[in-house]
Amino acid sequence: MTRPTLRVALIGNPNCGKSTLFNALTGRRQKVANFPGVTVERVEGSYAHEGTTVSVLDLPGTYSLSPDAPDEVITYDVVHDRADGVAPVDVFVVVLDAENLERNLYLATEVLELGRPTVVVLNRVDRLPLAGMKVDVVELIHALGAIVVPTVATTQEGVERVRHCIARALDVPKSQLRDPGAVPEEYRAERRYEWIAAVMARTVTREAGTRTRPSDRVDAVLLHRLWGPLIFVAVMAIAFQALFLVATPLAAVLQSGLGALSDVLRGLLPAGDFQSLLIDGVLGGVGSVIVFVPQIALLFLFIGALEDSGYLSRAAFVMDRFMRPLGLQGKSFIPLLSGYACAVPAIMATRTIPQTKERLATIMVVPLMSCSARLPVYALLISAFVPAVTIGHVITLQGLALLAMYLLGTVAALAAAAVFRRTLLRSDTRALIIEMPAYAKPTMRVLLTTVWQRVAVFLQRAGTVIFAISVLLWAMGHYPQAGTPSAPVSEEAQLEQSALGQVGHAVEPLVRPLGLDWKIGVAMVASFAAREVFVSTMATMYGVPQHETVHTELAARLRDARAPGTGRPTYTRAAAFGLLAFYVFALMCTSTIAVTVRETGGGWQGARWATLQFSYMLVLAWGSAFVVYRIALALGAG
Amino acid sequence: MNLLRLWKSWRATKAARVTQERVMLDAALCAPSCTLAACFAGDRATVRQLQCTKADAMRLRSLGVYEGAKVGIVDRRNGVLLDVCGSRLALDATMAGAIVVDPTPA
Repeated sequence: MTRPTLRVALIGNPNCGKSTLFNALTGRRQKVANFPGVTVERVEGSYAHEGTTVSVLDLPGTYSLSPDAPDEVITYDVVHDRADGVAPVDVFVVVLDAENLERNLYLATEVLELGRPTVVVLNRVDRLPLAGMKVDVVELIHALGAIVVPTVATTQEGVERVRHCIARALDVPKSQLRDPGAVPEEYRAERRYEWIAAVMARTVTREAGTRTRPSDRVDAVLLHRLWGPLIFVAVMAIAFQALFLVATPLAAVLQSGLGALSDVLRGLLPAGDFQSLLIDGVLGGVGSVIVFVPQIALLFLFIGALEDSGYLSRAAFVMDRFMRPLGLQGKSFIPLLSGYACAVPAIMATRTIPQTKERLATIMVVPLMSCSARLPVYALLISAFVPAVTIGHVITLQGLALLAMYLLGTVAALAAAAVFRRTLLRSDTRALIIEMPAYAKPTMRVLLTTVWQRVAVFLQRAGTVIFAISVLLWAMGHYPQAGTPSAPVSEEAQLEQSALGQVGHAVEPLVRPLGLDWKIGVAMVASFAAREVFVSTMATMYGVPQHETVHTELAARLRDARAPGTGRPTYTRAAAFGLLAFYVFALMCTSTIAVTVRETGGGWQGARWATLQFSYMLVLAWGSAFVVYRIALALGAG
Repeated sequence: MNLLRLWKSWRATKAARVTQERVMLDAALCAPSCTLAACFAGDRATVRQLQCTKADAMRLRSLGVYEGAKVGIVDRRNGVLLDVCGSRLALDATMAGAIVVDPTPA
């Protein structure tokens, strides 16, 4: 027998503790998806109460029910029962931040005027004494004509009462509040606020002299024109150092665990195709997925802490000045910076940007920031083809070349953002109006739930694709087999005969104008699994054993490689410079493509954005590699 | 000691300049309205007009900045930080320049 279902939607201002209440109501029974056709996140959960299944929809934070702002359309559509794929809601739960009651009541009046069953939750009542406020809840119930439940969602206080009131909301009389009628918008707002002021006068007592907060002094520094950005950059630098220090060893532990497991399997299973599939294909695929988990978890723990403490809004305000000329906004800064570590968590971090076009533009350019997986490729090519010359005893030419790669990527990302925002993703620049929430201590339980949600989304959506592609690339490298069990061939010969080798030969006409050969073509295709695979594939092709000195040996082999017949170098310095430029711009990373598909709306819509991202970066990469190669040749680097 | 004297005289000059600006503003206040961008930290003001796009005006109203609202200017070194209904709202200089108010000097 199926239990009856009650559909509930949570509505509230941003930063009112709505998501905390959602977590407190539903516990771990949550799923994250997107609303159909848009990038706005749809978080749903459920709980059982007195034999009824209550399904809860956490709507995006909004200040009003106006359909004018594109990002508030979803909430508007849901409350008017016309959102695609969302069943009509039975009960609305309006969450109010008790400390900012006056402002929060504006949205509450709009919802109550709809005349639908509504429960009003007065959250964060524990902060009222600190703010010098007292709220008469009984008087508020009379004024609003609706159930009002005081709660502290972070400590679960009053949450059971909310469940109880939701269950009974259909039976209580509806609020008698009605829309001000056909009056111009400015009078409508004024009338609502006049009514709210009267309600505030009846229900709230404020201690005298509490209008200025101690946090105003902190804001004077954090929002300062000079100190604000400097402090933010310092916070980010410390956070990324910590992230690097913790995530790298964690990923190494996970990888070595998989390494140990593959050693055990190697001992248990007979050598052959099945062993190779399980160890190199399946375990390799799992490895390429879990290597991202520590980074994603830590980045979201950090962003969550910044957001819940109230600092993210301040950072967005001070950084906006620098991002605005590019058509981006203050909140785009964190994803762009995260892009230096890895584009996968960085693209997921764009969820903090509420405006769709700004968010899409940020996603489209994040992979241009040189991620850590490009470093092994840069290191190999630079050590092979840039002379180890020291300038003035301090600066090395190789170091300068590496810096140039990072600068090239960064400048390209910023320029591409400006182009996207002026063409395909053009929209009116919104004025900068940001609410500065009160500073608060982040709650670990809430933070960990958010982190778990993000990791789960990554594993379910992107992880499966990354895994499948890793196994596919393994299969392409192994089949068709060149040798027989009785007469095995070398790894290089197998790779050349395999489907991957044939693809390498097929793309040769494309890389030939860049001064490169089919072997580079194979390494390029293989590096779709992860850019650093470029190094291991080249090592296999040049018969260099995979150990600590693989970089040095391979660099020497590449430098000394001679074309058969002519005896001229296979790779000229000019071609290597071109290849470096190619790797700065090219999106050779299936994980990033998978995450872009997922984060830009999924399905065909996501696939279109991912295709555009891959194509423009490929054109940019090939074009600049060609230009660099030709210029370097003309300058005598042949 | 010389440094201390120099510091004190610099502070005095700065204070004098601020007072002078305030006197000029008070004089200007005979003309009833100005924009938020011309207000001083510590002032309170009544919003008269929102000279911005319809979408921005709607957003401002839903955040408590409506025609007739009383707001406080908390800080104005980088844009304007407002006290609106007890919450803090940051606006950039352009937005502050589009909000016409009747100021009440502190």
